[in-house]
Amino acid sequence: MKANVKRPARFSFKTITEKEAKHLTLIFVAVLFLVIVVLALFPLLDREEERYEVTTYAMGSYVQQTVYGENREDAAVKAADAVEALEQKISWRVENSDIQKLNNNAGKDWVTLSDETLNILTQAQSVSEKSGGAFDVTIAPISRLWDFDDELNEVPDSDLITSLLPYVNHSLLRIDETEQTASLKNLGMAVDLGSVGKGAACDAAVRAYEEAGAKAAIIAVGGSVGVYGEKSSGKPWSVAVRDPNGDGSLGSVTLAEGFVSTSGSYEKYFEQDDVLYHHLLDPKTGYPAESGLVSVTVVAKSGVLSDALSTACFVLGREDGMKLLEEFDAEGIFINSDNNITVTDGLKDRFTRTSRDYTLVS
Amino acid sequence: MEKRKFSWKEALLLVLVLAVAAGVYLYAKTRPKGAEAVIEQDGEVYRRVVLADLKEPLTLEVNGAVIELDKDGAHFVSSPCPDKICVNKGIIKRAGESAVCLPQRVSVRIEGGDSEIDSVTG
Repeated sequence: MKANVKRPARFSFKTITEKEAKHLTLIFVAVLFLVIVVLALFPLLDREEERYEVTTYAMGSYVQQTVYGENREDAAVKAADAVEALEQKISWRVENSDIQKLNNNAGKDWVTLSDETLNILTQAQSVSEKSGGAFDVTIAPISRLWDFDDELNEVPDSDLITSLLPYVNHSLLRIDETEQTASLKNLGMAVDLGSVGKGAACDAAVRAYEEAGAKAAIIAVGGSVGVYGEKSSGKPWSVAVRDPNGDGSLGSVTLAEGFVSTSGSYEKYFEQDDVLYHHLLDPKTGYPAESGLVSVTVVAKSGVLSDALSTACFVLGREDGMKLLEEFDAEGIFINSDNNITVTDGLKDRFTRTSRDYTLVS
Repeated sequence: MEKRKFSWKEALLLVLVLAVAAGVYLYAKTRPKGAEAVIEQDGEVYRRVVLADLKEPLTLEVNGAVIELDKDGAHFVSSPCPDKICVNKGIIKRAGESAVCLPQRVSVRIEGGDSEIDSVTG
């Protein structure tokens, strides 16, 4: 600039030559132009991604969706429909559902199942097997006895629990994948997919997003979360992990894909004679599991797996739980009653603790 | 050659004014909007409330459930539901948090603000 100015440039009111004036005008115009360009481009750069958020109800829980992309609303409706359709297939309470048919034919016959139910049952069964029954898909006789969904809130008679325990045995559930059938070997047995229903709903929703051509979406059914696609920002999805002892969250975990579920003793419980009874039952004892944990969060490649594994890990405890997760290539966050958090290696970089009430241990 | 009255100072001032104007505009556009409480009933948005704008607590009744909102968060005060899970949930304040009354099909969730949380597990 200075090179073009003939007289020494000093800031003072003075008249300038035409050349200088032209030069200044040029700079002035250039700056103006730049500002205009920035302002014009800004909405494009900044444009908050259009999203559609909706909360509906299914599976005895809330279904919270955030969907991105041009057909976001349509995709959300389709996902909600898929969740409802799934409930009709896998709830033992629903008349003529796959699972009700299977249960009604216990000890009698094989039952043909829909692809979806068969797939869920197969995954749940594999966790039953690999967890050594810490998670048992045939827990229905015991879970119905406790029935944490009713308002009775009473500890069942111990003799009754003992008498029903033999009917909880996943190895007597047989699945024939080629024939698409399954059977429960003994009368009195029953399957309860309640503990994997929310995760299965996330699976169904993610499939619906894919079919509907949504750009990206996240769904939470109760405490189970599924993600699909990538947000425009390119940032991974961030899922807060609820604080088992308080209102908020204790930290968050990021993921680019997959499913997250949490099993916590704080979710459903009641108190009787100063003892807390929570809903995570140990299939071996028929009573609420006591493994020193208050909450387990699992990240897995399907919602059914993350649900089943979080339940299994809660029952197994930290050490055995971590071994089980390895078998399924899943990751987890274990929180014990001393407020210690243990995170599996694959999740260490993706977990952020936000609450000072907890300590990260390795 | 005729000389014009046009000083460096004036030019600088003009550019400065423009730059400030642009700055103010950009700031206003990028300033994070405060956390917003979204109250939904049966899948439909019932009302959105920017919490920071609340000078005094706001009480809403949605399908029998009473929700109180103030600048620090939102919570269910009461609900005709049997389980009271919504009321026991306490105050929600961070984006991504939500309180749901399943029997009444009413939910409150916090959106936006400076948080980048997309959802909650547990």
